[in-house]
Amino acid sequence: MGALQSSPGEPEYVHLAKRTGFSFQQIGILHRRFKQLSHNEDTLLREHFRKIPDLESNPIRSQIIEAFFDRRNFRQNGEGTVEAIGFEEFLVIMSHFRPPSPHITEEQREAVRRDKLRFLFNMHDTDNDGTITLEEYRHVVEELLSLSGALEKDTAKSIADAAMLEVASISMGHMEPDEFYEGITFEHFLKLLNGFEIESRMNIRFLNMDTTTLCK
Amino acid sequence: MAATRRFALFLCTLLMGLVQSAATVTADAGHNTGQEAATNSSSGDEGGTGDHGGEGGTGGHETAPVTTLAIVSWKWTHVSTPYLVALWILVSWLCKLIIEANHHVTNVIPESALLICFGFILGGMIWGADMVQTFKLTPTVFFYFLLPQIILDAGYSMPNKLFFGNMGAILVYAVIGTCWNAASLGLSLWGCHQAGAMGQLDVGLLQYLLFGSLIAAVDPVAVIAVFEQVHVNEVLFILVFGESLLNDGVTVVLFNVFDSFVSLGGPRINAVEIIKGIISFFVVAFGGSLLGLVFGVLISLLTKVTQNIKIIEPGFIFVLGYLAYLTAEMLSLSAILSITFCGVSCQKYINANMDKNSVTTVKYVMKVFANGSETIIFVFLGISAIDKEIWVWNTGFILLTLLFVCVYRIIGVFFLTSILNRYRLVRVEFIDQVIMSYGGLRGAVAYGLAAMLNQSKIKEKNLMICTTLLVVYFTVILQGITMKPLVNWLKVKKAAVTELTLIESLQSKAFDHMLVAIEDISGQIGHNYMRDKWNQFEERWMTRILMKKSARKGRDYVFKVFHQLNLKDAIDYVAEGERRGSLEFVRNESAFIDFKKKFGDDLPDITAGMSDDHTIMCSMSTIDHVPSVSLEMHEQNMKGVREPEDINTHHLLQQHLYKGRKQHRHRYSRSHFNVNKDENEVQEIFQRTMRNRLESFKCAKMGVAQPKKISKHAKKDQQQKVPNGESTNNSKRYFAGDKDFQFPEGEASGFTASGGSYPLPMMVSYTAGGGIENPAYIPDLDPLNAAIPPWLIEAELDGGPVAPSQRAQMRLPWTPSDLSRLAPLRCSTRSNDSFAQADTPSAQQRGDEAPTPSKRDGHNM
Repeated sequence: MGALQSSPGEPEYVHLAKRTGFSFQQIGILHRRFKQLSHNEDTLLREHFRKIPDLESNPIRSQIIEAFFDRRNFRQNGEGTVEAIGFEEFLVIMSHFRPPSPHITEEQREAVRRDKLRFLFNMHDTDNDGTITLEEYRHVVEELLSLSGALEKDTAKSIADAAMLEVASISMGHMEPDEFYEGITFEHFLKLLNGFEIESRMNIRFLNMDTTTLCK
Repeated sequence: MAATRRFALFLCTLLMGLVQSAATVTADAGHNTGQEAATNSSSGDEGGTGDHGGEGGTGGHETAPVTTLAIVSWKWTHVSTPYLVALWILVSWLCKLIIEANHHVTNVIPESALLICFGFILGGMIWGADMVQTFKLTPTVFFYFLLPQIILDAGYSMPNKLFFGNMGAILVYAVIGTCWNAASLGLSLWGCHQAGAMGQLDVGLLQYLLFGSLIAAVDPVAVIAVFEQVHVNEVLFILVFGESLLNDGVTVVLFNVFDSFVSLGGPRINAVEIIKGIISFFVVAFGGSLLGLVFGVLISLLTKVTQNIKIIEPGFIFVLGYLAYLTAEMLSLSAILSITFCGVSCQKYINANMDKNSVTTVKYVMKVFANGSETIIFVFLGISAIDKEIWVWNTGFILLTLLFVCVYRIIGVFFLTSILNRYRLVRVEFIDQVIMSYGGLRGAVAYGLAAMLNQSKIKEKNLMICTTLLVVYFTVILQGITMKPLVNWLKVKKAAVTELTLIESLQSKAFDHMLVAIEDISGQIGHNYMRDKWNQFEERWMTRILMKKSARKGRDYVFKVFHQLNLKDAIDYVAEGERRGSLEFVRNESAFIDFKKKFGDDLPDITAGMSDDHTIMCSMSTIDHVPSVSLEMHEQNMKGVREPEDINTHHLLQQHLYKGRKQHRHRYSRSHFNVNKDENEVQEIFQRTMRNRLESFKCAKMGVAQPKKISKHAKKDQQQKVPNGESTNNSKRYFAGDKDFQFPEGEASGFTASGGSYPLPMMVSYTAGGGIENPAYIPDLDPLNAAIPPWLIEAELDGGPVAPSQRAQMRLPWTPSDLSRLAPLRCSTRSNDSFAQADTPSAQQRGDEAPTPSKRDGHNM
């Protein structure tokens, strides 16, 4: 670790900084972390993620790991999944969680919002057909509740169903008897989470590990 | 409305007169001077036994030589203290009643300001009658009897996640901000004094600092009262609210430190003393908080074992909370912090441990106490002003204090926020800062502390009280009134009134996990990481120790939302039924659940040959702890409901809801709420229904008052007459048992429905008798009911495997719409009438749900 650590200002870093909006310092920190995770390899594999001890207790671990290998999240209009990611991809994924700069226009804020929600959406939409179907959503809920042992799968299922129904009634309003609600589209997703201030919540402070924040 | 107001006003005036005359009597009757009476009767507010009452009482006995037996005697002195307390509480609350009757006024002027104004009026009346200040808020009453419940309530209803999420900022504001306010105010006033802005005043630097410390703190009572009506966004609210709660503790500590400094005297204060002061500050603050946590744990542990004394269960919270306050006071720790953290730490566990009713009780009683004493505090803040003694005017001192209070608050907030914003992910916006600095309301705590000042050490005590009161009035009334327009004008982000949706709570949960995961991956030890670790720790240890085993189950957040939504639906559902005058539209699925639950193990066998919706219903009903009735209410759903089912459902529901005429025979018990279901009652209901039936039979026979047939019922019964090939023995037996009762019925009502073609008791032939048109009230006439009272039916059903609904076999497998929330998603939620469409999803459902019942049975039973 640290062998490949480059000083800020190298052309590579400039490129990365431009693409992801991270500061050199942040890129440096993340690079170190990347190397640590990948054991000084150039690419990260799924196993590397699975080995992170803290992640083990996370109920939606697999979804999050998948999100790192999902081409849709690389901001390059790709599709499908990859087997390994390099540092640049890693950084791009992380940049989804970068706090927006404090002074942005309303449009930019909206764009940030869309971007962040798109990430969430992609996480749930595993087969990439543009909708979160009932099956997919059930899966999410099951995983979410998997840690609290008291609730069984069926509860998860009925909760997922109820949530889906709620979505249907919110986004479609009145449905004709023979209409079929296939799943949540992205537009609906935006509408659903309207009250959810994601642009200010889906943020992580990428700073040095030892500047643990005392105040928040 | 107007009438209420007038009435309340009248009552209030009346009572005022009463209080006054009572007070006058007290003053006259006792051998005390007016002033002594004042202190006594006001300290009598404690609810304790004022010594005056006792004294006067004995005096009364002594002076009246017993000559003859008095049938009644005037014993005012015996009761004067508690009586006055009760009267004052009543008067204050009536003030609130009057104020709340005028919504257009409270929309403009906050309630707290109005209450103070009412206090002025009341005080004026007392003054007019007595010419002395008879009642005022004394520190003892305030700190021991009025404040604790307000703080406890604040702690108990604290949004924990938000509070601890912003803990850092709150602490910075509360500790550093308050110290800054106190120091800067004291020093500036002293500076101005030195510069000669105040003329002749006997106040030294330490006294100024003492004054600064007592007036530095933002008051929780005032802040909550004003901010509650403004609805600012939750982050801003928690910052102001949390700050006001915690800085009260800080200010009391500061006050005590400076107070002892003052007693110590200037020259004797050296570095050691100052360091001691600082140490004592931290010891007092943290010790108090810790003590509160200890008491919180105690309460949680205690509620684990109180299930057998449900009635006094809620009392423990209040008693222990109060003890937390008193213990801290006894150990000279911060009592306010203690009771705050007591409430904060125990809320989660006691809410889970206690009975649902107890939780509701705690919540309500807490609000009654808190709101009630808040009202009293404000009224008395007003009353206290009408006192010639305390009004010592010193233009320089008062105006400068007002100025500095405002200015330093603004400076403090902006300075601290600018530092905090560097570390905060969600910045505190400029506008929010403006509101925060403007929301620096001072209140009764400051007044209480000022009143505690020692006259002998601080010569200008009255000036300080007077200034404090003015600051309080200025901030509460002026700033309180202007707060709302300011918030609107600055377009402060308001609290979003979002309806509780399942999807959002699911999302936010997933979201939290995601943030934690990303922090883990990126190797940050951030806020989310800490919270996650804490949650894990809590899950593993705290809940295990502090929570009942049964309560630990199913307190998942998402599940709770789900449960709440279901409850809401069910309530809507009933409300809709009541609006329509009957629960006719209720579908029988929901009703069957009750039966199903009783079946338990037999279910799979029975349902094996049955149609799908049964299977589904079973699986639903057997989910442990999952609310089994989940109904989505929509107009269109109900319109499409098919009527025959309604009738049956209606019946089933009625059987369950059926209450005997004397069901609520009140048996007094201090420790239990009873609903008695004894033998007599069964007998009584039986006879009653029999009589009804006989009467209707007679009517029909004689041709008098021919019972009306409701045509749609008749129609329905026709539909139900479909012969049922699969009827089980049990249902046959039922039928046989029914027969005797049924024949007159059939004859009387002219229905052909009864008899062999009508095998299932549950699907009773529906008779509209005695001219009752509303089907909701018919079930008394029901033959089945007559034969077997509801509970007996259940008992018998328990005995053997009975197919609860034969008709269900004829019914469509899936006729949904009311259980939509629980039911797996159907392709069309509104297709009540299109059977063909409904078939498809149900097939899918069968696959999903069929195996579940057997799996869950073990759980259920």
